[in-house]
Amino acid sequence: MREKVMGLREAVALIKDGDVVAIGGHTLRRHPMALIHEIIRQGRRGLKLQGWNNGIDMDMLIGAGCAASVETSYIGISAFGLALNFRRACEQGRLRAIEHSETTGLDMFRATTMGMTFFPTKTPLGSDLMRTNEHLTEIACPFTGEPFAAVRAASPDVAIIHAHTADRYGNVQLDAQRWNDQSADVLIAKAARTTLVSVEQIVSDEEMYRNSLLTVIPRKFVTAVVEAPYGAHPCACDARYDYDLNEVGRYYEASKSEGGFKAYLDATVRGVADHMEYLERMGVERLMRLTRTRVAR
Amino acid sequence: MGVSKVVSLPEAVASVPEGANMTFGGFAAYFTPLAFVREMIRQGKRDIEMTSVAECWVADYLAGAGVLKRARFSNFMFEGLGRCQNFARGVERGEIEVEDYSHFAITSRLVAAGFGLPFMPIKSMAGTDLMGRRGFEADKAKPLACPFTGEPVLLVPAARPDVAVIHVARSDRAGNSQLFGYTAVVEEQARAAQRVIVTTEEVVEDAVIRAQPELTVLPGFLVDAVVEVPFGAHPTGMYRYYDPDFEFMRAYYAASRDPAAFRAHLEEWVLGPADHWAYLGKVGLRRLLALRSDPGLGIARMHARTVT
Amino acid sequence: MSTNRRPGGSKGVTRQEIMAVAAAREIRNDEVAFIGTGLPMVAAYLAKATHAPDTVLVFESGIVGAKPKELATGVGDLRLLVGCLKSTGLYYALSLLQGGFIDIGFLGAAEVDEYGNLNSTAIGDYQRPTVRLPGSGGANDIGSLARRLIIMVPHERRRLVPRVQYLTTPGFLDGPGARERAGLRGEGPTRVITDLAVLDFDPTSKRMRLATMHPGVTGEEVEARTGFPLLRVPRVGETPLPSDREVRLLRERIDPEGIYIGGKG
Repeated sequence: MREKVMGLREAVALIKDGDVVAIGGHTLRRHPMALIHEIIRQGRRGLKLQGWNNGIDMDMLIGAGCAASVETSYIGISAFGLALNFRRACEQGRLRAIEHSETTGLDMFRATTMGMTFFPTKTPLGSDLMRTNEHLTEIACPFTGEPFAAVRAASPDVAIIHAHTADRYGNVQLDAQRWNDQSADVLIAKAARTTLVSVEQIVSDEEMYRNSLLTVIPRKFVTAVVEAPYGAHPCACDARYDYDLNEVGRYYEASKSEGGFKAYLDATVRGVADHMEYLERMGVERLMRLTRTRVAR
Repeated sequence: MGVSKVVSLPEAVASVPEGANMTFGGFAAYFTPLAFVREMIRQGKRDIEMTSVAECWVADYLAGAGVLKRARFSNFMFEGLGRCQNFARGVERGEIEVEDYSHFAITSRLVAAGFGLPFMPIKSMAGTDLMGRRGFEADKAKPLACPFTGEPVLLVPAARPDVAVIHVARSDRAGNSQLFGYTAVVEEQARAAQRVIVTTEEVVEDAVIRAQPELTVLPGFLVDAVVEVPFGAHPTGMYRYYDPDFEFMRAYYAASRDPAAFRAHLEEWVLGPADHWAYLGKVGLRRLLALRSDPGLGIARMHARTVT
Repeated sequence: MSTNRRPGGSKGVTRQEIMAVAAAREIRNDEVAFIGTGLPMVAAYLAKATHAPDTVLVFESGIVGAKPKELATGVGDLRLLVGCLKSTGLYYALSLLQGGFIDIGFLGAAEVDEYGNLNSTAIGDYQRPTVRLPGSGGANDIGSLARRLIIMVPHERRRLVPRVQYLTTPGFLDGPGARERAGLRGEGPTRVITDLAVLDFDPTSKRMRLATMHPGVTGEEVEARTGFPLLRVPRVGETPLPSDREVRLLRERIDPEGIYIGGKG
């Protein structure tokens, strides 16, 4: 069996300029921030981002000049407010936004994993989503004639997600206390050609066999696993650690201006050599105070 | 839901009086409450007496810092490294008084106290210098002929330390405390001591405790104070949390060969950092994460070579 | 692997390998063995991998029935917990001794005298020693209460002494009947295994006597390195060499880095 553990740098090097990159997570939860920071450090450009419901992940890539387009149901910083890099880029015509609802945002990946070229849904019918999103079109049911929206299957070149554990062969597990185990992250991971999974910890073979029910992505769908403890920071990671609202707030304030955001990126993302240095700048105390569970979930 | 017993580390340490007779949880290179010990040194505790089985790291740190006055104990040894050098030096120089026991004998003294008995009868120590040569102990053990069979036994008196400090995996706010792995002498220590302070890797909700009651080593009614101290056993290990930091231990051991070198170690690692967070920051997140246990093994890694 | 091998026969085994195998052969199948760090642990692993697979290993920390995947560095080493039968406390493990459940124990020491008494407490005056040693630990309990005791030490004149300076662990105390008078249980020490020889104790006088010498060792060497007059069994034999299988197990699986079997003695 092939071992798939890679360092962060090596894994992100598999992403090319102009790739369609699908990102896991939801709003401020379990986005693969360590991978995203590395994409920014490696200076990728022209990426076509796809997701289900996004926040700081896509906004940061947009603000860093990595993205050409976004295709998702939402990009916002939740209780803090709008995603300001996203907003600026759209209003200045620098970014194409392909609009979805959460239903169609998931369906586009679901279709791909089922080997279908589209997925039928009622949800966007009658809305401007149908008018502005060329990946949505109206069809009639061949049996009943009822109108449906067809959601075009998404074909991401790369998927990036963050999970809890994986073994060296690329089998990915989420803790028993988990979120999003059957929807976005798993669908995105299976839909892409190249799937990069960052995990809190690469675990022993013994751990993988201990409870096989925890496995959400078998290794055949995975290209590389990267050990990145606190790899979702400042997003929350299920029962493991909470949102770092101080850091999200700091991000939000910085993103109010282009200059402010560049300074933030230079200090926080570009100014550190790697993920471990990023974490060291956050500090042991801060990370421990965010940590909710350390054992046996 | 009851009153929370959670206090800060400095507060918990401040409650230990000068000259206290203390017993510490842990065993050899494992689950020893060293964050508490470092704070004791920081707060300038003096004339501490230890009632101990094998808590070598506590003895050597306190001896090296000039905090330890006397110890009744069974064994202080750094397995894989050698004798406890600060402790041995203190004894050899007449600065630390000792009273030797066997493992079973000193533990039986704690058992007697916990059982509410004035003594426990044992067979160990008989005929040896553990009985014949005395240290500072006024009442160590007395021989008795069994009133039923005439068989010779030794009676060891109950030992009631003033304070027990025990590091556990998780504890709720009421002090119900759990350990993964072996428990060494902590159950006996907690029952014998007059006051029990628990330091814990994580404070959890009581539902977590109740979900796995078989892991509970101390019911809350035995515990007086709870302190949340992640990595509170460092450099010793904590089963299911982190391995011992052997690199740190080797550096400590090298420094402990010589009083001046050890003083420098204390300045750098104990007296220098303002608190436990600063200490952990100095150890470094990188190293702490590298020590993390694998969830399936409970230790960081195995070479997966089956021996038996 | 260690390159520090001493010629001990055609296989080039080390003295420590001979010691480990001699000790392993003392463990019978289906026994309960109380184990400490170092060569005793190597011997216990070897016994379980060969003729004593059902023997239960007990460690003083509270680990019962260890089924170790690799060599541990101490009796509380967390890797002993992985796959063990029972994890409990020290009092449980130690009271198994007094309850008579422990068939065999192993001990080393700084000093051994001709009655098999051990010193692991102090060299010099007890209260102001020249050298303060670690202390009894479970040693006194094992010596007092295990059914059989195997002593394993390097064979040095300063170690094999007429009388220990501090009697931590009882062998036969001051001679025949002394153990019984003190109320101790168990047979007392049955073997002393060193890097030169295997010794036992004369049944009548309870004094240590030479039983076998390792290949290449002479009687003169043994006497020179023993600090008291050593009795001998009527026909002193040669310590059996390890088998090929035993050597392979030791070098490839149990102690591949040669930490304990590498010939440092």
